[in-house]
Amino acid sequence: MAITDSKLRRYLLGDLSEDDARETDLSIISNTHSDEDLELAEHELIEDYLEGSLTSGERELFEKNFLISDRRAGIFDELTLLKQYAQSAVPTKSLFEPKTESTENYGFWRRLLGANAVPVTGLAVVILIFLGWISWKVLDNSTDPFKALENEYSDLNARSFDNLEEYRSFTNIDLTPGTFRSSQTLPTFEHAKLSDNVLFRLALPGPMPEGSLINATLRRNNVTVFSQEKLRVYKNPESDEVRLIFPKAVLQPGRFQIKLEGPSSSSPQMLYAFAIQ
Amino acid sequence: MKQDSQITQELFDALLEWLSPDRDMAGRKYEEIRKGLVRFFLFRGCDEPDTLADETINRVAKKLSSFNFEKNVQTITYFYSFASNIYLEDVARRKKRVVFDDIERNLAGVTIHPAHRAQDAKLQCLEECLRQRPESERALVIRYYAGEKAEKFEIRKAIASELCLNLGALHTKVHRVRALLRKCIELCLNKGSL
Repeated sequence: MAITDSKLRRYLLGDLSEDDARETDLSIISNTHSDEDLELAEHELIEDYLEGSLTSGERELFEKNFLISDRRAGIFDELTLLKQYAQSAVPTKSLFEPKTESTENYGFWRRLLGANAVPVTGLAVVILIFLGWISWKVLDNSTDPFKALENEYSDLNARSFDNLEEYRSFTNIDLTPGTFRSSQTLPTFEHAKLSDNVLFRLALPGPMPEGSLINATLRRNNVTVFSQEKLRVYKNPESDEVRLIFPKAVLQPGRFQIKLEGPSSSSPQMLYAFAIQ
Repeated sequence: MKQDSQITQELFDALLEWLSPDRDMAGRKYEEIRKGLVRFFLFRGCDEPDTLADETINRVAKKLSSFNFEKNVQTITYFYSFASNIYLEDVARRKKRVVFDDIERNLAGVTIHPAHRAQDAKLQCLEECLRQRPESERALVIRYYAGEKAEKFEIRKAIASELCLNLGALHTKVHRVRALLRKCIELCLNKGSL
């Protein structure tokens, strides 16, 4: 009997009943499914974990039952690297050259509009762009509840954080760059205990040029929720760091990643991971 | 895993005889069963699937004379029952490892863990290795891994359609590119550590 994809996933997570697990074991031993199918299922599971698509129960099973061999750790490492690279790379051209447009349509429109085809088309384009801009302005604020907050916090984060004593009453979160992939090691904070504004101190891997300005993007469960630009770099005895405030409102329970981007396109990105529960 | 002592030629011959009176057929069945066992241990997350598969076969061979064949149980079921026990023994033997990169936080100050630098180095090597590949392979890797969730599936369907492949064949193609990149990255990292 063929194993369904969902059953195979639960098998890999160690989430099947004894009977179902036995049936799947025998199916694997008998080569009912190809090695490629099984490997694809492993890879998809790893990608779902990296993308935050697993439930908390599945994540626990993933860490306890799935990611337990050097081979899988190697695949995990590789996919993390590839996804990190791909998501930051500039999109390249399509795998094939774009097909050339057929001239038949141009001929049809020209026939329909006659000699006024060009000015009428031009006017239509202008109107469409204007309507699109109006729609974007309307939708932008209505679908992105944190847009207004970003502007407000942009002013806040432009202030000096030289005197950290002033921010004693804020929850302070210190992070170092890297990828936390185990729930046992991910810095985790309780939402209820956060102050309304949370001061983040993000260590940088090395000294930055004087006057550097950094952009920060906050992602929750792999979705961008907040960004701040032109953040200052501060010196401390151990290394340079970025200091910024995020509102508690954006720090809802979930897994977070802060991406810092340096002043130039060749500067490395720095990633910081944590969780709120 | 430390293996039990190797089986004797006599036991091995008895095992093959049990699989089939025809020696060639017995050899083919033996290979099929062994491959199946390796696959079982591999996808159960064991680190030494070949060793565990051989251990399974050795134990079956040693116990062969005590099997009650009147029960008419399938051959593979005998191997599976031994394999299950060996799997459980392997699980008990392995302690839970932290297999992720781990960064230690120093709350009194800020320290940079070497794992971060290692990740940076890997990224740089990956970029260099992709530069050495044809542009179409670089584009394939970026498009294949850039998306997430539902969008990812649509992108991959589109790539497969462009390349006139089904999704499984596309995955195999990407898998081959990754294997080449893996070797290149290893060389690059070794060069960097000299």
